[in-house]
Amino acid sequence: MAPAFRPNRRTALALAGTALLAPRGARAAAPALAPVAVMELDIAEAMLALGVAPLAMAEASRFRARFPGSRLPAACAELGASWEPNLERLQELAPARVLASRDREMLVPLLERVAPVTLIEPDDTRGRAARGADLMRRLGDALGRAGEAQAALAAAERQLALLRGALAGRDLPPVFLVALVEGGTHLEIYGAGCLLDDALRRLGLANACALPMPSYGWVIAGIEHLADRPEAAVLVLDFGAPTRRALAQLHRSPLWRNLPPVAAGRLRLVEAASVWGGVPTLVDIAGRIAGVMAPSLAPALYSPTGTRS
Amino acid sequence: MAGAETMTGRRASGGRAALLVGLLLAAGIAFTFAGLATRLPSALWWEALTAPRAEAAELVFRFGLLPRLAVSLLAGAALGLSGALFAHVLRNPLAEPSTLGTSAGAGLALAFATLYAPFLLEAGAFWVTLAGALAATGLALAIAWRQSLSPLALILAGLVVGMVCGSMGGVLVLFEHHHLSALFLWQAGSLAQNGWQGAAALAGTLAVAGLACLLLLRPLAVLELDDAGARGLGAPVAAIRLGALGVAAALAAAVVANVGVVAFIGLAGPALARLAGARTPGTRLAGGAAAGALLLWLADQLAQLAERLSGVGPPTGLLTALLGAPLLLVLLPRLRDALPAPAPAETDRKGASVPRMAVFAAVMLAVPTMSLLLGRGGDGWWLALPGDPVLDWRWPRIVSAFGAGAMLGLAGTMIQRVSANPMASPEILGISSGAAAGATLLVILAPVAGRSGLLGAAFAGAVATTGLVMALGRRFDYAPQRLLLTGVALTTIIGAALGLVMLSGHPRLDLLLRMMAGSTYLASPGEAGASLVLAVTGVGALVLSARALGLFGLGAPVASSLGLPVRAGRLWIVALVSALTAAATLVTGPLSFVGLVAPHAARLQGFRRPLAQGVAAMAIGGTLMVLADWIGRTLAFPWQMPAGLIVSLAGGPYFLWLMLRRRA
Repeated sequence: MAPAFRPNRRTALALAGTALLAPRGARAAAPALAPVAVMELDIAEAMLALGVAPLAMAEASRFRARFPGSRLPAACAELGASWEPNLERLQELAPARVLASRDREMLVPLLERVAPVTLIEPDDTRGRAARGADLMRRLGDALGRAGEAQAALAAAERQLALLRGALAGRDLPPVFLVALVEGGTHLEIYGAGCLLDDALRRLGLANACALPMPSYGWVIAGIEHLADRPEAAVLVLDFGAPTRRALAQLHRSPLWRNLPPVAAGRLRLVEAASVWGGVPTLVDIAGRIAGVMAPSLAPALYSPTGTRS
Repeated sequence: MAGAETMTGRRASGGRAALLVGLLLAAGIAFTFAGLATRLPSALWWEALTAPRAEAAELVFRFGLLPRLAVSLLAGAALGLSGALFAHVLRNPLAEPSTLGTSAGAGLALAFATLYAPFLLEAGAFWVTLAGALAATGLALAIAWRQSLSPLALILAGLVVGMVCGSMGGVLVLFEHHHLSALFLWQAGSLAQNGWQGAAALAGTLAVAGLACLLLLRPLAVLELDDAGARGLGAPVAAIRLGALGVAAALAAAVVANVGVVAFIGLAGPALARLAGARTPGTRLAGGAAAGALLLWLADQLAQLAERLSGVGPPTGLLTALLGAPLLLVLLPRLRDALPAPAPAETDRKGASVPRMAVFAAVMLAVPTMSLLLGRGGDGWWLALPGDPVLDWRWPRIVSAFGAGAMLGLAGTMIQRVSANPMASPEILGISSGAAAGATLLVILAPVAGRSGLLGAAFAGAVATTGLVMALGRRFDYAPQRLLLTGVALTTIIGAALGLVMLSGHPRLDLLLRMMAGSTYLASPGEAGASLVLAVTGVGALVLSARALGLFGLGAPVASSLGLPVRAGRLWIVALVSALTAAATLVTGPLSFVGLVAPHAARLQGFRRPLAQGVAAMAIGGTLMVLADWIGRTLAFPWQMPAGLIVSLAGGPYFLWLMLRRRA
């Protein structure tokens, strides 16, 4: 089932361009540690994009697993769960400052006993992507790196524009963005309100899902909903082993095999990204989505039986 | 009951039951046709079945909706047959896969395998669920064995096994956020299908089980006699029983493997069949299966209707739990139990001796000291000296853990005394669950409410649950085991309702999980002091009510004849227990079992008078919580595990062990 990549010339150029512009992976040195402790994954992600690493953060191990592109230095200490960061450890590390979100309001009196707490409160009324940009700006102000924040945001905009241009005029189908739930009957479908949906929008792609969404932007729904838009493509977030197991279960299902997008071979795996990320995740996942959508112009690469059709 | 009925009475009740069945059937057919027609016009049904096109609607009709219809009927029949078998073999109309812990055990095994040993599932989920179903059922039977499988003891054991499996499942969910959706769907019993494989598997199991039942029919009829009579006829009673129990457990396991945990169909199906006049083993089994199929079919159509109306529907299993658990409460008073109430206290222990007291006191001092001074940091284990700033973090947590544990120990002692029942506790009677439900409701309605608001809501929930348990208990004069059963049934209902909240993906899920797990993290010095003040006030209340508690231990009639105003005394103590439990639950979570364990340990230490037992239970409960909090702070450092969770992982199994050991 190895996807035979056949990007045409224009796509190849565009993708090469994005690789050159990529804000991460291309950077050589790991960012230096600042005496700051961070309680949230998205703040840490934005901070690293500004070229500073926290001294300690909550859920550092989960961050390393979910945001592999962010390259958190090994020296950054683990503080445990973000809803109960280890205060004794925090005090031992003696940061000069603690960065947290409104979600930690209840913890502020405790954290204040170690170091001054700055709550980064991005405007979240205009969607996750706009929230991410606002977070980057506010973090830049808070860290005295407003210039870096402006530059990072401008770079992200350029890259998103480039990706959108590469896909423009291609008459691409609407897209279902899903994660598989083991058992073979349900999916997590992402829609309006979620960062992944913002990535689709910024690429000029339409989200095929018309289900009503809660504010956080995803629902668990039956696989049959993929038949609501027979012409759609399905992008499956790839979480590794669980996703492979779920796919194996789905291959045994006649309903799944006959769902129009699956039967027509318009299903692709996309390396998973966290829905709780900010601008760097947005750019990353947009790049990956563009990467799989562009070669989808080639004949069907995926067929449920595993053989090329 | 049957013998007392006249022929006309039986015919009338049979007629009513036939009418009920007819109505259910008509409703089911109407819902089903309406439901199918909204997905695919009926003119196209034949085409979708015989010559399907790659049309979305036709595919869903053929591979989604129709198999789901078949699965609802087959799974319902399997559960109904399983329930009828259990009820017949155990001579207990309430015995069925969810009241015996069978389904919960199968579900837990499946969750474990999914998370930690997915390779086990490659041979088929059925074998994993079968192992879990057999283990849980076996445990419930073993616990009730000592009490000659008395119907009430058996159901109590089964429900508690189910509760412990459920709280372990909760732990898994807490630590494996990744698999949350899959686990919730399984625990909640979703009937959605993606082809005919599930229906085929269930049909196969059902066919084999049906065949086994045909073979067992005559031997099962022999079991209608008492054991001695059956043996007199030369029947291998034990072998028949084991065979039938195995078949029943396998049926439940097959359902869990294919659709997840679907509660109470095995109770409602056979009950409906009995109502319709099924008397012989054959008609009871066949009728139970048919009624089970009818009920699950109807419940699933309701779930689908809700999904059509609201977009995202409740999983069918959760719906049957919410609808079925009240049925358990209704059927409870009808259950006959010839056995006397359990003896209220063990009398074979020596009183508190001086060396024993010294050891006891040493432990009580050593644990908090260790908890305060010994800890972990970036460079490993270290001992803090007095004056170290780290102690400022630790003491409020230790004091608040101690206060909460002490309050539960006291509440447990009081409730055990007042109900003259050594197995009672705030956790088992549903008081803790009620407190958690009250607090949860507040979090949903008013997310910004502070700690005092939470405390008030928890108290209201605790009082409401206690009041309900007591009101329901009046009908059977507060008979101890029935009271426990009522509480456990309420806990089950509340658990299902909370499951629904979890499934809704509420944004403050973390807050809810914290509440269910029980954590001392947020304890401020003020709060720690308040919890200590509350505990001390509790001691005062204990001193005032010690005489009443002693009299309650003799049973209500004796207490009344000795001049105790039974009703007023009961109300006073119930109010006290509710207040103590509500304050403690915010720290320990609803399933800590401290309120059960501490009074027991106190009695085992030789503290048997109400006042001494209450104070000792407070010391023990407090120390237990302090120990749990210390383990939680150090075991996975820098990660912290909630103290309530740790204590419940130890407390649940301790409770089962206690039941296993206890004689009638």
